[in-house]
Amino acid sequence: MTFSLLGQDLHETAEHAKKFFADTYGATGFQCEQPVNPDLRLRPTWQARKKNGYVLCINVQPGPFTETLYEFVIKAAQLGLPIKLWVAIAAGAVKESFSADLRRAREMGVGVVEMRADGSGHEYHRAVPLSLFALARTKLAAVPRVRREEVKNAEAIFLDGAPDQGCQAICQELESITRRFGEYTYDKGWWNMPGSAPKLQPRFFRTDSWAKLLEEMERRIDYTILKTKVPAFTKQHIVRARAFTDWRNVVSHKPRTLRQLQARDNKLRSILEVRRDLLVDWCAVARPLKLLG
Amino acid sequence: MASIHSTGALANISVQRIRQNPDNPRITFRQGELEELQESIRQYGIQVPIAVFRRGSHFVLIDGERRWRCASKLNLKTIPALIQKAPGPLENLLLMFNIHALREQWDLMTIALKLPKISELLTRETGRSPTEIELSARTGLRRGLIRRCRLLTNLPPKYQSMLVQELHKPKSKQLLSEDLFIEMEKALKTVSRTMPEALKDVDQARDVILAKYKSGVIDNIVDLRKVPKIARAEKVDADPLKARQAIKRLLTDPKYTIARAWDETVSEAYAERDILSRIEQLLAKLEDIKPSEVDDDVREKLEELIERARAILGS
Repeated sequence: MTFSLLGQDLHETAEHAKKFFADTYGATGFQCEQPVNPDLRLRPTWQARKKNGYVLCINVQPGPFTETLYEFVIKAAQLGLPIKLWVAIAAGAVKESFSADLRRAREMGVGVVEMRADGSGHEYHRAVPLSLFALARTKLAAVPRVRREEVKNAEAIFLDGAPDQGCQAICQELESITRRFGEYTYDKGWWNMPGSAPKLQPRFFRTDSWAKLLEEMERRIDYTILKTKVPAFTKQHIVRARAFTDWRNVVSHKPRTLRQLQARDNKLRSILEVRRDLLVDWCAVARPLKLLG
Repeated sequence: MASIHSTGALANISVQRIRQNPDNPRITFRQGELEELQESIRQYGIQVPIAVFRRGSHFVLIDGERRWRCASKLNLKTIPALIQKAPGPLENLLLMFNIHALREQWDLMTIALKLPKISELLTRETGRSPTEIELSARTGLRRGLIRRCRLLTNLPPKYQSMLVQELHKPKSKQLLSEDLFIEMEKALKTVSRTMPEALKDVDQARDVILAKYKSGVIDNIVDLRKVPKIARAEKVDADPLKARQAIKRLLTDPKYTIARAWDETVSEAYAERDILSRIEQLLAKLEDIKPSEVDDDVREKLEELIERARAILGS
């Protein structure tokens, strides 16, 4: 490949990087030194497509991070572009600021891989899709310790390029906690059930429709009693959860085009943020009843 | 548009329409240097216009390839440029030399590879080969530099491309340098002149020297300067037969070091010559000194010298 912008001292690294990403990540359709988007002020050394639809950008440079990349990340995140940005550096690149640059790259969601002379690569950390990068990070202190790992994992999966799975994990947690809350409060007799109503079976709380359960909870829970047991609980907890009972449909559609991927990522980003915040709120009301662990 | 792009005009031109100048002697750009400039351009823009000339629907660079590379890398749409008259081939090359070679530190090979073309174009212009002085005047290069360049351009193509490939590597990974090739060529030139029978196959000798350098058997480029001295053994009254054998071995045996060849042949002779030359210099100095001018320090040292000389001579 003839590079017209890259300095000759990194041509070999660039060739190795191309092969590495093709072999390791199944990247295809490599383009060399082409603009990704007219608004982005960087032509990465390589751009290619990944099987999951993301645009893979690989910039070959002497060190892990530069201000040019900072600007690129901010702009791409602002535009919600489905790009994963990696930096490929040559093995043995010695720079005084190496550790600091590596840390900044990580903070900015830029993956860093060091290419060795034999063509193998050492990944310091992976790239985060920039369409997801703007996600407001979870304030873990607000999450009860017993649920912290799940929330952390869900966020990591989300940022690793599987936002649908990340959202799914959060939604599953939310569903599970509300189901347990429903069954517990029902068993305690904190529901207003008409005298003629048959007794609800465990199946109703555990496997039947979640939407139906929430509907019944909203209608039957005795808020006066519950207020004395869990002061933080309000009807709004159930109302807000009811808005998300279709989550399986939302995350199951596979985007076919870049535009669809960009739209889906933007949607999933706000879904994750809202549902995670709701989950945190539900944890707060489930905690006094010891329903978390 | 045509009127804007008249000779010497300053205009913002599309980065996409600019082409590299194939005659740019600079063949190696290092990414680290490019990135420093790129960061400056990203922050402050391009402060100094590049220089181009028009060729058809695009522009060819005369000056500013690094700025153009950085502007392209930053996906800038336009770049400020001075549009100049299209130069002739010789003028184009000389412009490059005068703009770049005097302003930046180029790799020597970069310059060397273009010198034959300049010579050829000057020959065409004047009807005769340019002298070293003329070449120096037109290119702005020192004569010593031109001579070093010639040692590189006289290398067989195999070694030239070996060197170019090496220059393309990151500085930290470069093993073979232009200086190594220059010292090697100087040494082999002397050997072939003074001891032709010791140098049957020059390329084989080159391969052996390069292999020794790569493996560390030769660990200092300057050591190669001892090879011509060994080849001139006769001049210092050392055994020429021994020297010839040592040179032969040096150019064939991958383990035989220059230091060993030196010690086994001419080391003592050169040490002796060195002492003689210093004594002669001292004697010449002493001739100019009158006894009344000798102060205590000098007197003390002269007495020490006499004492040591007597001890060596055994009387």
